[in-house]
Amino acid sequence: MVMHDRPPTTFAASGPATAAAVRDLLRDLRLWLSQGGTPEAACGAVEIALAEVLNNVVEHSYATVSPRDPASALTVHAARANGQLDVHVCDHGTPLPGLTLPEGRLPARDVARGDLPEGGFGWFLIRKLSTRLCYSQFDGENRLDLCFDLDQLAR
Amino acid sequence: MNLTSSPANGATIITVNEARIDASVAIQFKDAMRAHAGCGDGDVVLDLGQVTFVDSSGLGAIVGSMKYLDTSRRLHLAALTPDVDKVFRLTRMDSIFEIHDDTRAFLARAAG
Repeated sequence: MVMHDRPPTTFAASGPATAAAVRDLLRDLRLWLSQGGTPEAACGAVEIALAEVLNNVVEHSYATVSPRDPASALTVHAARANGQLDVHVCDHGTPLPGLTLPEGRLPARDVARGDLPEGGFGWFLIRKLSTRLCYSQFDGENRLDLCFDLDQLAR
Repeated sequence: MNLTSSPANGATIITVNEARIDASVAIQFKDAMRAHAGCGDGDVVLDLGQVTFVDSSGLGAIVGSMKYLDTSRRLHLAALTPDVDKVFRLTRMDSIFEIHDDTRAFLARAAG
């Protein structure tokens, strides 16, 4: 492991579209954030949001298509500056329906116990924790840009 | 998925001996919960003290485990770590469960 006097301000990683790879990627990203002095509460909030983004890629983008390069089916780039974190997540799977981001409304909880929601929280969490979200699709690549206010998330 | 369970004051305490309940283990978690909660009676207390991270699949698996129980049995949660607590609060699913600081707090209340 290379030791830096100052932790790097950028992060880049790629991996296959599997739940196990998502776990590893989240662990590495959190370690990078933490070593850069990001408060634990903000590290947790970013991990919660990115877990949903990456799980969506695994479960939806590549649900019916196979990655053209399986070893780097999903890529994550992140940069930290002035209390802000910018993240880009890219994949080459199926585009989002209608090329638009889901609204991410919280599912109803005032229902009978047997009808309580077991899903549908993902986009709500992503929207709740990020300050900016932008989806684009170009030349077979899906790209999601996210911005996080680390100072606010640390509170 | 490593879960252990023990009876306590008419309830069943199920301890999750894992750091994460996420998409990669959500199904195994639900299966293990069924095996440990069984078809007995009495409330179930899920001790999450060792769990540092739950994603929405893990949250869904916990809700699914509650729905599997007889309606007379409640599912309590105990010892939520900070990031797990955050997921429950943000999704407002904290209002669905009775949440205790730890299993001792549950037992003290059950005895009282």
